[in-house]
Amino acid sequence: MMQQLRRSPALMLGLAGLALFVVLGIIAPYIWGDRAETLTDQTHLAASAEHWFGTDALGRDIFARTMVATRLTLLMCLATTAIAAVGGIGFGAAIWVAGPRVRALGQRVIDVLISYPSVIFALVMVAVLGPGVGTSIVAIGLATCPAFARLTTNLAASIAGRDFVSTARLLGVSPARLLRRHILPNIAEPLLVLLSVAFTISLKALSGLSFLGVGVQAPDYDWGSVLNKGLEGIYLNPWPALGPSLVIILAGLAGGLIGDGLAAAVNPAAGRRRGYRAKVEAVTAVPSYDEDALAVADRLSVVLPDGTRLVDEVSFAIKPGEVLGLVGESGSGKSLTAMALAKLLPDDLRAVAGTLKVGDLDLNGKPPASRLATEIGIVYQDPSASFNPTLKLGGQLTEALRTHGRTSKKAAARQAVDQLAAARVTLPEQRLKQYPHELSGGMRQRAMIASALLTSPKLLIADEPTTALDVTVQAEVLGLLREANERDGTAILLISHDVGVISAICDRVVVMYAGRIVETLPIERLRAGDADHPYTQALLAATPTLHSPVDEPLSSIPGRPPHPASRPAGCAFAPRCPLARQQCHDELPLLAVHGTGATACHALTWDKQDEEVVA
Amino acid sequence: MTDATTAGNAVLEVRDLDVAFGRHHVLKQVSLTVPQGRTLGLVGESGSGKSTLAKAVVGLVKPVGGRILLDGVDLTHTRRTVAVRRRVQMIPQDPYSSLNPRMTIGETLAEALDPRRASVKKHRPEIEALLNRVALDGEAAARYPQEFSGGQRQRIAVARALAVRPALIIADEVTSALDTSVQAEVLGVLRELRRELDLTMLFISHDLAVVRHVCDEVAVLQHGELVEVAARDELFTAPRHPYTRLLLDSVPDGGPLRTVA
Repeated sequence: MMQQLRRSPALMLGLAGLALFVVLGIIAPYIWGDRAETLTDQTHLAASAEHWFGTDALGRDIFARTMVATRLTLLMCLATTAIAAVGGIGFGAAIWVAGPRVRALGQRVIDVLISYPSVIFALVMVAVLGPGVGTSIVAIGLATCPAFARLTTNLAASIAGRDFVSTARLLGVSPARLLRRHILPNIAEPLLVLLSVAFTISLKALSGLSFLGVGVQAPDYDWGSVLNKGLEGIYLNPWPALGPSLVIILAGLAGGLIGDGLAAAVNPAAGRRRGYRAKVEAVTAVPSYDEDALAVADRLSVVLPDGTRLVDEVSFAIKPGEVLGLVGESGSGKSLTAMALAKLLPDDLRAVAGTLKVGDLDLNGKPPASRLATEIGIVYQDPSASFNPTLKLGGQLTEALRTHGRTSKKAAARQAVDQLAAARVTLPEQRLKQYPHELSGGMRQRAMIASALLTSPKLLIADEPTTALDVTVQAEVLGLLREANERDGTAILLISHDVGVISAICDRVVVMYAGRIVETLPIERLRAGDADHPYTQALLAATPTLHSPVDEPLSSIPGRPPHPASRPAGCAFAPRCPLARQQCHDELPLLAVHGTGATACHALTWDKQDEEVVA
Repeated sequence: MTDATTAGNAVLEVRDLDVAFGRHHVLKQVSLTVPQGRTLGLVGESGSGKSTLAKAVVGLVKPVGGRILLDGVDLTHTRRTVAVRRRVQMIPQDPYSSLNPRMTIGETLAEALDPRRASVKKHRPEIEALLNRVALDGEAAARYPQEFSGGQRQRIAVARALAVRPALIIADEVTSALDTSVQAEVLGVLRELRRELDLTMLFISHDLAVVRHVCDEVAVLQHGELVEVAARDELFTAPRHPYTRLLLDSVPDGGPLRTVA
């Protein structure tokens, strides 16, 4: 676990600070012990070179007392945190194991306890048991328990929903073992973060109690009680109060930094650097595409801040009125390619291209938002996530029209109804007044398509539009896309992992593998299974159909695609390719026209060479 | 029903099963049989009740009516012992959440072999044999799930289900989270195992093409009702129920889009 924690400066600083206090706690009584206890007649002295924090009412050196108090304070914090963690995690785990009814009751109890300020709770304890070190530790410890208990049950509940826990149940693993083997190891990090937070909180609470005079009693003293004594003359002589305060703040800061550092280290998303721009070689623009193409991506790369190319120099064009399919498996870069074309990449990704345009809209520059919103329509995979659940559909459907198309609200609504009807959404007028959740998944996706088509975009980008839908609804939605294409001539870029979906409505297909285009071919050839690239062939052979022979197993592709950061110099598919020779590992094959398509494969040139040799 | 589904010694028999969540009826009078050594495919769209049926068989959902028999023993209303629970094993859908990231593959399999002690040392030969069964190397036992691809993880999940030597394996959408090439790998392993180990399986999927490649018989669920049960070739070549026909016609099957009535 710990080796996964990345070391952040905050964490290092916090740990260093805490280590310093621990060392201080160990050695301070030996160094300053005498000075701290010695009574002198030099009472109420201000800070000086001799007495850094001044002296108290009995003439004792306050700096020495503060240093000596470190040990007791830290030990009390430690004990308090231990009580809170052991008690809280134990209670949280126990009610989780005990079953649903006890769990519900236990959670209510925790909710009630957590709403009481811990100092109030401690004061009640003190009133009952009398002040002292033990009472303070037990009181603050118990008061912090509910925080641990709540985190433990909540996290346990989230882990308990995972498949490996239900599978272990089926295997007959007892609840206690389930907790020990499956739950606790998976929630250890957040609990660790809370531990450091609890340390800081207990330091604050314990010092508070002592400051109020109900914590540590003389002759013992901790930072809180030193501060209490120092407060007497604060207007004339601030250092006896400021000194111990400063030490409490520093110790609290160390604990806080450790907590922050741990939280950042266990959350992989938190440490990502944003806004950092990697140096990418400038791509020179050479128009090598068809002049009448509607959309052009020329040597488009999508780059991570560290320079890793998730999409590596892909070039393709979409003709007006064409339905272009983009097929590939997860991690092939197909969605990123499409999102680059819509200028919708996540913040930390950057698109670099020689040419990137849709119509006369240059996406390499800063295209006006209104034109982007109206000329490129987008349909996402998950219709339940693409609408805002708290707003009625009407406003969301007509938003682009109203903001960018300068259409009146009434006219926009009329157009929306027409478009919904065209997308065969039932009861289109009523739908505008409904919330997204009132529609079925299929209806929502139809509404999404209607919304995307409302501004009459030149290009519609559909990113896995049917993956979340049932097969019968999928057929209808695909039909709808094809219809929009035939009726209005809208060009469509359809992204899918499913060769069947691509075959159903596309005119041409681009096959991507590991961030590169390996082949483009007309759809008739894909349907006929007549592909040139070994990857496309393997993909087709691995796809189960309703008509292929079932008596032999589907052929799978051994191995897995390379990680974008370690994409080989040669062909990315070479390590899994049955035809690969040394040339494939060394040289990157370029996309070359081959028959009615284009293929990036060295093997196609060997055939010719071999034939020439034979001839 | 066809002969195939009623013949032989049934491992799983579901009779007139009714399941309701509140007033909402999820399964209505569902009856089906999985004979020893056969694989029954259960297809249907979302909301058809196919996952609920799996949960009822496993014991996670209490039926309101009907009976569930495993090897002739009625499980419907008895409190299932650990031994009974282990007779039915489930391969979950998502290989990324079905393996504990904090346990090595060996520990995961050892737990399946012996849920109390889960000692890797004591079970090393069995663990290696299980891994070899699903075409993985024995040294995989020392590694963590994160080091494996989706297909490999799903094969490990299959090995875990096999470890128990269950009477019935329920495979719930086991390939729907996987890429096409990886799906072929997992289907290949299941195919091998069925042949070698005479497995009895309930294979739940929304993907008819996948079901066609794995199952002997196929049952079609629609809105909680069983509309058709037939031997595989019969169902795919001559579907009798209009809904089955609609499903088959909707599958994008490598050709241009057909207009579905």
